[in-house]
Amino acid sequence: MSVDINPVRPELSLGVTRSRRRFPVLIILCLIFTALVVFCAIFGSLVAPHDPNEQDLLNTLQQPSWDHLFGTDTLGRDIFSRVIVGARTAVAGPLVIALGAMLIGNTLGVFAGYRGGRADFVIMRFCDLMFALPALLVAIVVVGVLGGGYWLAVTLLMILTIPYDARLIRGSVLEQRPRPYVEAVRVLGLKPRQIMVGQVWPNVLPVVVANTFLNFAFSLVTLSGLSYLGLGAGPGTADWGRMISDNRNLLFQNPVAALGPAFVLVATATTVNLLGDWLYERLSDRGRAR
Amino acid sequence: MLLLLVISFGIFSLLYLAPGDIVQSLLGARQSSPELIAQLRSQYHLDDPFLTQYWIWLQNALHGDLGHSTVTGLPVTQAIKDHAGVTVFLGLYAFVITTFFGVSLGVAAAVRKRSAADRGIVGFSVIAVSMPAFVTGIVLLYLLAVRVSWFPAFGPGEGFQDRLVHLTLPAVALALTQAALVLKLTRASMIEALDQDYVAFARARGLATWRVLWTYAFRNALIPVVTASALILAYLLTGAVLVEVTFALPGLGSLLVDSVNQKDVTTVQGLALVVAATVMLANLLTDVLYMFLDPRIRLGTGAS
Amino acid sequence: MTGEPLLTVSNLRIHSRIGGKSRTIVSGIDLALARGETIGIVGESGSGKSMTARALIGLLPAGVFAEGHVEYEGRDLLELPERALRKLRGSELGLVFQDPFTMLNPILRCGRHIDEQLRDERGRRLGRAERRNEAVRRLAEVGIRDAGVAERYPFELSGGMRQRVGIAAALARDPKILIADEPSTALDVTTQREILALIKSVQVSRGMGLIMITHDLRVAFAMCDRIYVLYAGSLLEVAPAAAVEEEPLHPYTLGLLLSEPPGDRRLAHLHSIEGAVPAPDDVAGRCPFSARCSWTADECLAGPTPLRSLAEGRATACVRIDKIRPEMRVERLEASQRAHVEAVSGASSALVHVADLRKTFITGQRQVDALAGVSIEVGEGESVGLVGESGSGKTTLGRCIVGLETPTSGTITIDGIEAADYTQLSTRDRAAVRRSVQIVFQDPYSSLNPVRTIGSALQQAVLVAEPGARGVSGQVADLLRTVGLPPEYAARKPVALSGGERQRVAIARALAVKPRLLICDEPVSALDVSVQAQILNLFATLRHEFGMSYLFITHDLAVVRQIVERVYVLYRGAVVEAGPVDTVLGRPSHEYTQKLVDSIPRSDSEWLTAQQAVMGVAPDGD
Repeated sequence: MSVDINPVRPELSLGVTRSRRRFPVLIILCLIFTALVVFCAIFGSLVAPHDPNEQDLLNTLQQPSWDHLFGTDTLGRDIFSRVIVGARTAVAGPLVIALGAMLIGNTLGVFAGYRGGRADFVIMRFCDLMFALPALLVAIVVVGVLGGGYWLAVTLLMILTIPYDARLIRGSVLEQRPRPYVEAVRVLGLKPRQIMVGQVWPNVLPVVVANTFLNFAFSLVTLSGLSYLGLGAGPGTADWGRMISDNRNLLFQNPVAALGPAFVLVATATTVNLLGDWLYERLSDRGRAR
Repeated sequence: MLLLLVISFGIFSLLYLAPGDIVQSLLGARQSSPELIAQLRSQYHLDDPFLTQYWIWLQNALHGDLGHSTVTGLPVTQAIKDHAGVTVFLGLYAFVITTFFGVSLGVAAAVRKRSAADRGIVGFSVIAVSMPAFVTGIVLLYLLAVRVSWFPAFGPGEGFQDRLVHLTLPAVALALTQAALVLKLTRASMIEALDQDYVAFARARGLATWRVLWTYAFRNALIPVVTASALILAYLLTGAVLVEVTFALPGLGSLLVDSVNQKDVTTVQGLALVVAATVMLANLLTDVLYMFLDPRIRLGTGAS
Repeated sequence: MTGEPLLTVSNLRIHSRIGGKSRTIVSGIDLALARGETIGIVGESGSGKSMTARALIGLLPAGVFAEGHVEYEGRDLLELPERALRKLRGSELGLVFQDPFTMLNPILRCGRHIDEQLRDERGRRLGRAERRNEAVRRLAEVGIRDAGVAERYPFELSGGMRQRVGIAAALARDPKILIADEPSTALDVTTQREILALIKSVQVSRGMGLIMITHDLRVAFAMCDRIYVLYAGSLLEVAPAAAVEEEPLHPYTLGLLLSEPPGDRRLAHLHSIEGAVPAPDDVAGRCPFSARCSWTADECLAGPTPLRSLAEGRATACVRIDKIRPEMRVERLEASQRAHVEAVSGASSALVHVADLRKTFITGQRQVDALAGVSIEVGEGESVGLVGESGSGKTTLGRCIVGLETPTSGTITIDGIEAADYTQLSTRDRAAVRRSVQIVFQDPYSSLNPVRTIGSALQQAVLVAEPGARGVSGQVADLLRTVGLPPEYAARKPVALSGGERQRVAIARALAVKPRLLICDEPVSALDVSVQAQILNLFATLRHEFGMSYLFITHDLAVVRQIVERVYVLYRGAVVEAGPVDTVLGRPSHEYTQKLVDSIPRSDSEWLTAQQAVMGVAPDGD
């Protein structure tokens, strides 16, 4: 009998070539930088050389020196310390936005994609509504009218990011749904929730993770934009966007005052973007359903 | 259309959500007095039910009357008209730069995939994507207006020539991020198109390279890029605000920010409505263009 | 028929270099093509045949390189710069692709595909009217009489029509050599015959040399003068087609020949070649087939085995051929005699009864009637076949029975339970039905969840059947053994398994719930011929062991004959013929069934010429 089923001899079957690609140098640098930023966000006030809020009216508008690496601003505050502490508002808000949008957007997207029908329709109309409006403009209008504030901006941006995530995940789920492996477990009799969570979602994961990183970078930039316009972080807060705006007029005197925070902002956004792109490539290669 | 209605409703409701008394908001900076309050109440129909107020407002808007600014007292439509010129100029200028550089570099990168040029372009685009318009603006200001005086640091300029010069820096600042996005999209789309069987078949038949690139790859790759262009417009509008503030340009963006800061609710409402309408229009235009480019949509999908 | 030599390939080697690692794809092959001659390159997946075609025309993908000599009209094509090559492509060498659905530019009208390359004697583009005329003329040459097709877009045409347009486009500049890379594989069986006949007639009327690339030996026999058998990047046998058919001189060729299920009778047991095709690098320095060959001896492993010429224009790479030739003859004889089992249909109670089933799909404006009133029955322990081409509704029927689709009207009774609409069933009924009927799909590469191990997928299946079962891993091991896989495979992920192995896992998963009826939707169509036979044998054995019923859905008549007792023939959503399989396939009463039976590739020249005669008279359908 065993002859008839032609049993498979393992020696004859395919080996799997797992490409052990080492971490590229660039990615390692990105990870280090990001870790640094996160560290500053948590422990900033301990690490900063000067008190970021301490005003020294005798030493205003100083040029960069060893004591004040970025110089001082119009109120004599050390800009370098403010940049370090500013990491907090730069990380906290976008993190909440990215994770919140991921959780809610994912749930909505998986639901809409797998269930289809009415739920899908309703969720998609809701998303269409959101798509019609550029996030920043809505934020400006709403936040401005309601009186500004950091966490208000964060909440609003999160709500505005959800539809993008939802649509992305829905697309991925729709791509997986007709695949035979999903249909096979349906026929086996697995419950829809089991299928959504246990079967489909793990295959959608690379997209989710990468997208969350990109969302973080985007939120960081948008949030800073709001602060730049005076609508996000309150006046006096050590926030990168705010600082760039405050110190804009100092370009002729001490350009580092504005360019310092600007550079750090761009660097953070870039590293997170790079990490997101790299993660996507890496995770997609692990043989996820294509 | 329905969408626009819903959005306009939302915009109108803002008035009510604003903290503080409605009358106070409408008063703005003026001194209050019973006559003024009474006049405001009747002018803005504050004694009527909410929906009626909304309806009246909407009707007025459709006739081009968006009310009066609570700060300056001038008609909002007037303010919008005055400020629109700069923004439109800026927007178009930026759009041209975005499309030109984004698409051409994207195609170049795709065609020379994995070469040094490609990697350079992609690397540049990653950084560009991470640079918000205001940062780019500041950097450009610094480099090209402060360090060297090639470009003026602020103001929109008079006349076409002068305006072109004045608005170059802001337009580039605005365009940079968008160009990077367009580049990414074009490159990905082009790479995918070049990978297709019909491109290989065209080459197997000995067709000239340029024709293969153009008719076979590019025109097919364009379709997803065009669909995304409505999104590009939305981002351009967003960036315009930041850029105008940075460069002190009296455009719609500055108007918006000022109005918001001054709690000039009617102006904000009016502007928001105009923006929403513009975005809708852009979406519509994109759909039409998409239909034009892809015969499958035009004729309805045929055989599977 | 030999004319002057057109193309001579010497020691062609193709390898890929990606990320510093070099992998051999083809290791040193020689080909020769003369004017008016047809040669066939026959190989399964992983043989390197497609890459060979690309190398000849200079269109290898990035990272893939070719060395050796490809002589055409006194020049070595591999040495030519890209510009010179481009001049040759299309005008001297033409290439037709495999998939008609992706071969044509979707935004270009069909006529343009043909006339965009046409030039007049002075090398200038033709005028509009001339171009139109030319396009229409060439479409007629490939059997499309309707001039309007030139103005239509590819998506408006069927697969067969698109393939014809593709052929016309490839021939637009009148090349002397045509390379056809699996030109009919993506098409329906009846269309396949038409396209192959077309290619052959075009070749004859233009006096071209033709290189046919195929995985199907029968097609090669029908179309080619000489056959090159390619395996894991090496040529194993070269000979005139008729000679190979009469007596293959390499164990692999013999294996291929015997693995092909015969269309005219039923075998008790199909000959199969165990194992899977290896990567060329893994078998360098010895006979590539040695690991799977029944006649392997020390000399097969001693060193590389190049082709050796034998008499009558034949060559083989088998070092032991002289010794084993008589044994091979015996094996062949036995295989053909071992045959002939009557399909006995035991009438018993109906397990599944489908009555007047209808299913209509509505997409946007269009309405498609997939099923237009189909009634079938599958008895307890019976094996029934559902045969048809694309659009026949066979897959839809299978899906309706397992609840993946809901029919528009009609009834499906499974083991006494009315199950046309699964959503209406009570939980208990639904569980009962699911335990009665399971399904195995066509594509092994997407049948398994890529992020889960085999073991966990099977475990899940076992737990669904018996929630809270104990000793699950033992059951999983048993399942694996039942389908012929070693238990260690439970720890592997699907990406580490070959197509045949994955299909076995899919079968194991379906068996976990111990179904009474297994619906098999084209389960072997995506597999290589040698693996196909393994799986078919597995199906037969499982049936004996578990007494299951089968509903075997396929387009391949030869395959279905080996496995079922009764068969239904579907055409455009309706049953056109039904009955015992030997009767229906041996003496068909409906003309469509006859057409299907006639479409099985045969080596007598009549197979093609009869089709050509038909084509000359009637315009192409749909």
